[in-house]
Amino acid sequence: MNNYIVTLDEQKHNITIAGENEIRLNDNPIEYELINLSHKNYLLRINNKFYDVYLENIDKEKITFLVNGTSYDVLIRTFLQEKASQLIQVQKMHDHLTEIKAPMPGMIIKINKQAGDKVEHGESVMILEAMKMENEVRAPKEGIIEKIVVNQNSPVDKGGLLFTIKNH
Amino acid sequence: MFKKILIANRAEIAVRIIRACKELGITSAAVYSTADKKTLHTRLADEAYHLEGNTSSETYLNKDKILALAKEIKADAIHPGYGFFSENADFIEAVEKAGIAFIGPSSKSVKMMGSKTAARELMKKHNVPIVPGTTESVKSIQEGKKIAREIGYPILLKAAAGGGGKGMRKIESEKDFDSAFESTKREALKSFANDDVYIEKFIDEPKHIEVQVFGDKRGNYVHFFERDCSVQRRHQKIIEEAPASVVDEETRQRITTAAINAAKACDYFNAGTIELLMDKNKDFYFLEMNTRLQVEHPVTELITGIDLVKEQISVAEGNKLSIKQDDLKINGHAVECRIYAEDPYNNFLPSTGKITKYVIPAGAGVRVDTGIACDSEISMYYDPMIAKLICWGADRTEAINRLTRALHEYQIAGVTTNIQFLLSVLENPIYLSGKFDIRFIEKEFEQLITNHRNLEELNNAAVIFAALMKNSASLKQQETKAITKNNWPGLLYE
Repeated sequence: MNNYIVTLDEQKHNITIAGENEIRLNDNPIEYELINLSHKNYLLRINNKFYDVYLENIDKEKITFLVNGTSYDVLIRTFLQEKASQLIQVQKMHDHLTEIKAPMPGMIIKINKQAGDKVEHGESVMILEAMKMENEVRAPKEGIIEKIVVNQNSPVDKGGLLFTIKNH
Repeated sequence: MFKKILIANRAEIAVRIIRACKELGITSAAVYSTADKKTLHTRLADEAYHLEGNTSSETYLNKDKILALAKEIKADAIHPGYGFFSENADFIEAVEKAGIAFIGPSSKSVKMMGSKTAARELMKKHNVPIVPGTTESVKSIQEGKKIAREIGYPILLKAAAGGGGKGMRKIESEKDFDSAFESTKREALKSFANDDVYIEKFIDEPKHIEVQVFGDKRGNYVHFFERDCSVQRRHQKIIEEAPASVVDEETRQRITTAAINAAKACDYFNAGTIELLMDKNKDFYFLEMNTRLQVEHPVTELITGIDLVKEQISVAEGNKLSIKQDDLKINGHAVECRIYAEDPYNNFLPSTGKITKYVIPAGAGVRVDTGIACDSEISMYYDPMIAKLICWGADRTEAINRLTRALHEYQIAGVTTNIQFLLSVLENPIYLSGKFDIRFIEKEFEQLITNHRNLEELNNAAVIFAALMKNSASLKQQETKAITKNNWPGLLYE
């Protein structure tokens, strides 16, 4: 099993690891060399060009790393995993509830809406203060506020649930 | 001559001041909050003192703690850097009273310029042009709406005690007035402990041009030419340069003369900046005076060869300015960009975390002012600036090419940065033409964020690396499985 699908910026790339120093990228053969410098630092040579790579994190399907200072966050799957995830995607489309999470840690300083209120797309629902700046948290779609789970003057963590919107 | 200076600030500006102290043979004493234990200024200072806590009010904005410390360690002077106490007249007064030198202007000058409305009044009196609007704070929504209607929308609502883009809102039409008024007041109260706001006419497509001025305590003044800081987002500067390519010799005469007049009007000494808005006809209006060292001071240092921090220290010691106006000339061009821990592709959300890899660029004409080292933390308590990268060139083109080259050499892991975004700005045709105004980022935004990562070669390398990692991870898994199947545990080495 050395065929992979790499998703980068919503574009899928097809990769086959053909041998110790050979790889096929979208069917083009490429010569490479990977040198592990230290714990998370690598040198990657592709044909006659070297790249400085730093591996930040590797999860099952997600790899985060830096190539010559540019950060990459890519999805990687085997052919089988790719097929399975496409099936799940189709199911998710039927889901109607949207969860709005805190984009950064901060303090909720004002809540403009309450559960049951109608909201337009882009309408301000609450104000999150972080790093001394007030940031409006807006509704990503129109609908009805199903519930608000935070209180005024309460701190929130990054990714913490703020409120949910259901369709009309 | 000062023997010891307490630096009441953090990160890159603290490092900048520590370096000047070291070169002058002055003992540098730094302070650090709990979250800042691992920053660079803590390590570089000759002495570093812990301020318990993390919030600004517990630490870098705690007057009592800092004054008590300065006395205890027998500091001769306090350098406030920028932000925090740098423009706080009460603090300066307390320092003056304690018999410690404040490396900056007098509390009197700061007060005169600190209230934006009083400053506008003062400038009007001294023939420095101001933007049409109120010279007094607006008392009520009704009054504000009336004035706004007279001046004509769009208008700017600004905190009288504000600065640096905080506590300021543009209002497009009357229906947005109420909420903007409340919001600006609230933000102003929180940031500056003063909720006075005033109204200014919104000038269309202006440039932000500022003049670096300097005075000593004997009434001598010089200017160090101008900077163009028009590349801004939400009034926060992103890229600054000196000199301004649109400013010709005649305009330079006019703006520097006005700037010196402004400094004289408030009996100014030490480093200060007169910020101006300049429209297409090269008419200019006083915006505000920053009574402190600016973030972007390095571009001025690179084109004049003057160390502004050392000059600040010398003037605070009571010395005459070390240079005369006639001896100053512009040498080449310098461009600075601010590297932030933020995500331009996700509404510029600040990014926090530990810096796990940090490689800074080098080479001729490259200067990095940073407060970060490997394993430092970018915390939610402070401004998420990682570094200022400043490049000098014989002309603007060389400076920009060098900055682009240096940005490509920068490697930062652990937080999201705006480096790709900065690179997109530096290759934008309008930026390159020099004809950009303060709405440049707003207007070119779509262009700037879609431009990123157009390097196919780099993307291919990324894709290949990811596959190799996944492959070696699955190989390892297979190996582990193979080993655990063996019933004789004596062979397990891992």
